[in-house]
Amino acid sequence: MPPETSRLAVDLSGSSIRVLEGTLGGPMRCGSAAAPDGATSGGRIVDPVAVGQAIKQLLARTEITTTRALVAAGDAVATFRVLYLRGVPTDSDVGAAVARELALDPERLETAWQQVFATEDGCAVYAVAWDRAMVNTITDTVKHAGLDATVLELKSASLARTVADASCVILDLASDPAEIVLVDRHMPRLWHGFQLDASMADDPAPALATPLRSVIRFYKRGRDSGFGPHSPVLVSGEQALSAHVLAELEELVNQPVQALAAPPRVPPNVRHSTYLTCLGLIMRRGS
Amino acid sequence: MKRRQIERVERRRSLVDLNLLGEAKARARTGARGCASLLGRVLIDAALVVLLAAGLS
Repeated sequence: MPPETSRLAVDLSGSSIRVLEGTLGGPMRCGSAAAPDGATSGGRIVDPVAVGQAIKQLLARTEITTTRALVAAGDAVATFRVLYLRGVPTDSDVGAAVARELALDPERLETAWQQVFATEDGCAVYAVAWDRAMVNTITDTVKHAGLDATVLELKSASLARTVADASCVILDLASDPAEIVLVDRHMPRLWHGFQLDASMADDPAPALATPLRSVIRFYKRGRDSGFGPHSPVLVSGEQALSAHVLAELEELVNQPVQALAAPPRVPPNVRHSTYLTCLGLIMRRGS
Repeated sequence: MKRRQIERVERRRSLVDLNLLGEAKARARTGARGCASLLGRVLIDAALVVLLAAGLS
């Protein structure tokens, strides 16, 4: 088996810019910087020149010289669904199903899908509809940084790759806004972003339980859920929540709650909670 | 042995690998291929007509 080649991952999903270069099981370089004031808003880039310059400076500071980049965009720029289709659907069958499922404005939105696996009587399809202008802003930003984006995917897709549990909830407190991604059968199924209130610092469990319960309750209403009572809530944050807070949260959401473990073969010098999206990007099978 | 176990674990992870940039490019290529095949079909039909006409005369 040929040795894995080093990859550069750029996380542009929030108000912090994060970059990581390396391979799983090999050396990694990483760095993080706040986006310039006013250059991002709610997971969207509003000033591509300023963010591009900030990425350039961050790459120089981190001594990263790779120019081909895998990029993660915030889920705020898109919407996604997993559809189960019967039989062996043609491209036009899938297209029609995606158009039915996702409210489309072809002037503004673009769609793409991927058949992820076969079921007993059909197949599962992961479909994304994204705002063309917002995604163009991201690719412009990457160009301003002197990089060539080879891959662009949603952060939720990157995060789903970092967990071994087939069905779980990832609670990402290291991002701003904080995010919840529900993963079922190894596929991202729901995304929800929410602002962390400074007042929750004293008693975080009830403040975190409210959005978590809403997401889980909403998802369980659907059919075909592999998300059961033992599916865990995995918490990732710059500062670990205490065992007491995790236990309280577990009681409030009625699901097991634990800290999200580092993916395998991540060196100890890399804070996996900070660079989780970047790690998910370099775990992609395709380039 | 250990490496094989690690690979198995990683292979179970998310199956979603959709590249939004790649999809846009692929769609552009598909469009171009569609035009090329239409043009090719017209040329083949024209060639057949010429050959048939030559054979009949």
